[in-house]
Amino acid sequence: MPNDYLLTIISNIGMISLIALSAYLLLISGEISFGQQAYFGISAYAGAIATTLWGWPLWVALLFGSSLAALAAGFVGLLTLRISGLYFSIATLAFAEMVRLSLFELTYQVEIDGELIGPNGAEGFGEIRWIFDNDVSVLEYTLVIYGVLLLVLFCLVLIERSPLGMIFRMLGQDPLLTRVQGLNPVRYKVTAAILAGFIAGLGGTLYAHSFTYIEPQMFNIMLGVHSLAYGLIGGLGTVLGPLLGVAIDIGFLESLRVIQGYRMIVFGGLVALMLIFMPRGILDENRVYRLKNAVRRWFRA
Amino acid sequence: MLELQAVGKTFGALQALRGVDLHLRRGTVSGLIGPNGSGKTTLVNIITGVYAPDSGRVLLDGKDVSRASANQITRLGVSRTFQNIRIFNRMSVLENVIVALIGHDKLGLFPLLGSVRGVGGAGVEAARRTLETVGLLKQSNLFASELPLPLRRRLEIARALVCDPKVLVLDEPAGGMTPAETASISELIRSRIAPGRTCVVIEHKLDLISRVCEHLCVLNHGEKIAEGDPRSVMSQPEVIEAYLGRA
Repeated sequence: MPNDYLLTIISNIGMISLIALSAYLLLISGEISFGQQAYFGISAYAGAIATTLWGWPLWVALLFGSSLAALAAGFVGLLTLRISGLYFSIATLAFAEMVRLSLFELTYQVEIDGELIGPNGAEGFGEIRWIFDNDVSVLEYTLVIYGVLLLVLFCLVLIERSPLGMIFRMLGQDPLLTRVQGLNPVRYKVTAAILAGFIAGLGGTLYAHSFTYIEPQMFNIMLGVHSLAYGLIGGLGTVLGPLLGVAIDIGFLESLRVIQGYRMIVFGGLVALMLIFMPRGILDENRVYRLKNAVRRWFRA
Repeated sequence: MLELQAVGKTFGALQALRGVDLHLRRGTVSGLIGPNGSGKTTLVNIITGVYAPDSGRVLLDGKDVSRASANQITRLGVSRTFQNIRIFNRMSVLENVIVALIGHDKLGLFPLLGSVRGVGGAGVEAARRTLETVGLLKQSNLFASELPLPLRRRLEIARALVCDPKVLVLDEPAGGMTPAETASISELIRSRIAPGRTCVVIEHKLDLISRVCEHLCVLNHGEKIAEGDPRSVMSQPEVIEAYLGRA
């Protein structure tokens, strides 16, 4: 039986992978969002409110939180249609900060068993006890997280193999050239934003129920920066890229006790080195294409 | 087919086009020449919807498309290549042609969520046939960024050609090529691409223009200074002066 520390790291990798995949979807569509933590946070609060205060089952809360996050992402996507590049990044960061600061003002408490429970501004939102109330073990919850992650990966692989995935990658490489192929970039930019918001939202609700306590500060820019860095380290050529990035950071750097305290320095250095020597990550498009061809040839042989 | 009526375009203080009229006849190859800065690329960008004209009209099959966006114009059947080659570098050669089919919804019943290679099997076949036409079938599985410049130009042509456009606009198809490569691309356009197709070719290389074009239009300082049969146009004093300067 794996110990709880190991399980915590494994489940953390699973949940953070979801926000990393969310940032990845935008990265391949050509946008650098510094604001995916907002959708993670919105869903964390909404999902936790739904199970803890309204008594909803986790899976309904998960869909509710993620849909709310997708709605917010679609709204931001529409507002930012006319901007791109650095301006898009700043706009997404500004929105994420607005969400985080709004959460400091959010107070919505309900008396449950003689105790006031619910979001309480800067003091956060504790007693998110769905796991304990439903006798779900850490191992079982980890399996739930990985079930959701696998489902998301499966859907993303389908999208990547489809014309829609190709359109996202076209937009990421040359929006004008995409337009002169007869495609309206607006529609696909907003679609990518909504999908990315939903995926980040899935991670958010799962995160709130795993940690049983959330506060606005958890959803600050560092989470957004990390989610971007995972794709940039792991690679933008496949959905497995961001997962590799998360595994390197959380599975390796965070677990290595020797470098505790220096983790961020090592991580920052790694990002800088990657940007210089492998700007599109370890599993970049070219490498993934070669790998796929090699595998196809091997199967044929 | 495609008609421009008194088209004008201004960028700040620069008047890039001044009342240009142009009539492309169905099934003919028209050349568009002029010195640098004469307004050729602006005209192409107006024809393909990248820019909207400030004055005048663009008619496609008699319908006013002056305000149509680039994606709408493409769907109406106008395809183009670019002076500065634009290909999707991080995709394979085959995928670079398939993208045009995606834009035209030619990938079957599930245009967005089906597999490109599965549902779009017919599309892949069409893309392969087009690559064969331009002589790139052997390279179809290469990454586009691995192609040398002359083959990139051919890839752009394949992408523009795959949906069988009503009007094909080739912006400097021999740009940056050696004389031998220019001769080879001229032959490709003349023998395999142009026949029966309405084309506009923008080019500085007059040997290519004289080999492939049946009709020629010359721009200078945003104005049309000559139009007609290529041989007679190229012998006109204004054209010689615009290209070579006054003696």
